[in-house]
Amino acid sequence: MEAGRYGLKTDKKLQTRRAESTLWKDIVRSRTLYLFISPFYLLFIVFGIFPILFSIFLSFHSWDGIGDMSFVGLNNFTSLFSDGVFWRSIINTFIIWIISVVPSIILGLIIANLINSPITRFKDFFKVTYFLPNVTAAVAVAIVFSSVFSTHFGLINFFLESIGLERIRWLTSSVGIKVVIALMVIWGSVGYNSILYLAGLQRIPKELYEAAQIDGANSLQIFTKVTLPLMKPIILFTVIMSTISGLQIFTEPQILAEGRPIQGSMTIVLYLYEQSFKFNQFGYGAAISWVLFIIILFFSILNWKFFQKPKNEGKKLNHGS
Amino acid sequence: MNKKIILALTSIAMLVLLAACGNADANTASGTEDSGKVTLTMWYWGDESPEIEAKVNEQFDNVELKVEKLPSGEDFKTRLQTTLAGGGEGPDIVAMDSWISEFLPHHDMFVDLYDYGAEELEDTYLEWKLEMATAKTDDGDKLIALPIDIGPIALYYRADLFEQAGLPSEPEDVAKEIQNWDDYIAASKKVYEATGAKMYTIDEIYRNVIGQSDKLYFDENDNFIADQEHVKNAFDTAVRAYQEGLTFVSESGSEKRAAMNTGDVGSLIHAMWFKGDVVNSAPDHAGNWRIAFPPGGGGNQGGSFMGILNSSEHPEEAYEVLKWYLNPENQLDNLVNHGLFPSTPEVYDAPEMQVEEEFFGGQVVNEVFAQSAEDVKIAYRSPNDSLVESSILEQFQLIVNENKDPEKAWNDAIDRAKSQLSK
Repeated sequence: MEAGRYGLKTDKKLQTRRAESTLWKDIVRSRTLYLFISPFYLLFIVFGIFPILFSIFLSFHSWDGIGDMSFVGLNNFTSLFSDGVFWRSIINTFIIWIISVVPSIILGLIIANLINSPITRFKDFFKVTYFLPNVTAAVAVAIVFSSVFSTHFGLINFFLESIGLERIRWLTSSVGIKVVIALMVIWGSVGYNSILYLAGLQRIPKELYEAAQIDGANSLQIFTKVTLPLMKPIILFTVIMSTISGLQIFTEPQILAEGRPIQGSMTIVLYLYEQSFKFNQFGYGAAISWVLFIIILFFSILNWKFFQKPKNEGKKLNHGS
Repeated sequence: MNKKIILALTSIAMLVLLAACGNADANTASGTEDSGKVTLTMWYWGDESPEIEAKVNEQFDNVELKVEKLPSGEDFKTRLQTTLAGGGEGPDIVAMDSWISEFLPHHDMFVDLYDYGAEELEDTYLEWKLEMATAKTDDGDKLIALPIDIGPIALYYRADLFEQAGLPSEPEDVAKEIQNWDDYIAASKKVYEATGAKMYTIDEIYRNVIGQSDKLYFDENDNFIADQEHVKNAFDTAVRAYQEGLTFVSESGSEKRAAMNTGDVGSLIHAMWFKGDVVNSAPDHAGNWRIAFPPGGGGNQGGSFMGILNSSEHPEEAYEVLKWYLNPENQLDNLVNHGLFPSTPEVYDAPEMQVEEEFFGGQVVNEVFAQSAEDVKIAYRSPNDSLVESSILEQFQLIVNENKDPEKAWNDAIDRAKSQLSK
């Protein structure tokens, strides 16, 4: 491009060589600056790039973590697709994700609106308290949850029994453990979501609400026609973030199930961990991690596409008015 | 000028960073000090780490031992694994848990203690325990570690509840009356009907029974034998106890402990190291618990080892340290001070072992554990044992929580184990 501007008639090879040499010259000229930012990149190469590339390599091998690696081609992947527990772990992960994300977003929106409402006092206090669970260590929370939900001596079952209901095996039945994990995720993420939504709400110009009110819109209409469309980018952000973290859920099932194999709480990352570090099948573990990566990538793109469309419709509407 | 200063500062910062990375190596690498002392490092997980360091340094004039206390369990194993994978530059001496079998295929990463004269110790330690640390190779047996403690199992039971159920309550009588698993299940039924107290959980019962077998999941040629009678029998025994309504249903560790105090659990079979858990969990029934020789014979769960890495520059000194620290006398000390049961049978008659314990009604419980320890059968262990075992334990979960048909569960467990192994 640079060369083209000066009208030089050189072939492409020369052009790129020139671009390279100027790039290199730039680097040499500003070497001090590059030196300054190098620690991050060096650490990133060692602890970020290298493990990622190595895991690709690993996923085509069979390795017990110490001995020699043997190349197995696509074997890890083919046995993954016929592995019933792996499929169950995907299904479990998605069920937990759905029953935690949907309530978390709805509750987050409600709380953000409540904090944002003009009649609420002590806003900062509520912001802090709702956000607090998000910075609490998941391991500690999981231990508390596991004793609250324990079958024989837990608080929840004590309450259920005292009002004449049956005890529920929260931590050992397939359904129960998913509910408890989801509750933990909801508890931890509602505050985070509502703080983000609150920021979004405060960014919406007051004039839009006033105009809607003058046009005679009721509060439900204002919420669905003004607030929600303008909040969409932020909701998209929280959905993508929760997809990424939700599909990688590990700590909660690991602690709640105390490291035992419980089929109902076997999530993808837990399975990856078990295969790699408990059974020393590191190649298989690496293969799982790459399948997980593809799943997350797919859903992130899907989320993005899905939320992209209504935004355009909003633009059209704006045009019409 | 300015640029030069910046450059100099940056390079210093980089050097410090690199030096910090390198320093750790310098510390762990063993070297000879000026005083002629040899520096050895040890990885250990227990609270007694500083004590080991002090004891060894007092005993040996030529050794400076440094014990690094690391987090126990999976973390410890993973750290050892990554160290070995990274070329084996690590500590000189390393403690290992019962997962030692997973490291036997990599015996060449460890010093073969027979090269340093470990034959002399063969009568010191229990045979089955040494077997667990022995790698069978084409050029004969290799011993990669010496035993620390063992976990002999015994029947823990509430004498008062046994009495209420019309059963004998003294340990000798109980052992005589309850000799096999049929007896135990029948007795547990009586206890349950009279007092409402149950046995332990279904998976613990499975572990007990399989632990008493002289075979596990693979034979000595690494053929899969988990689908055979001895495993099926353990599976069926556990399922039978569950179907009779005699097992305590819970998978949570804290609940299982609480059940000992509430009277939901009246007896259980567990390792010696579980004694502390029983004592701490059931304070309301102090004096009522007893320990008897387990139905179905002696067995072992857990216990640990100490080995020397091949990367050690001073294997001779390290071997001397191991040999001394793990001698019968020190093992006895470990029992008295830390509750680690000796792997050296010659101290089983020592006066220090004959303590009467109040919690167990003044019974000398170590006698029973010693009896169980000497009755453990040698079973071949494979690195893949835990893979197979978890396929089976997984199915108990489904039987208990989702009412899965036990026959189908058994078949699924074997299929799952096989498909896991085929990878």
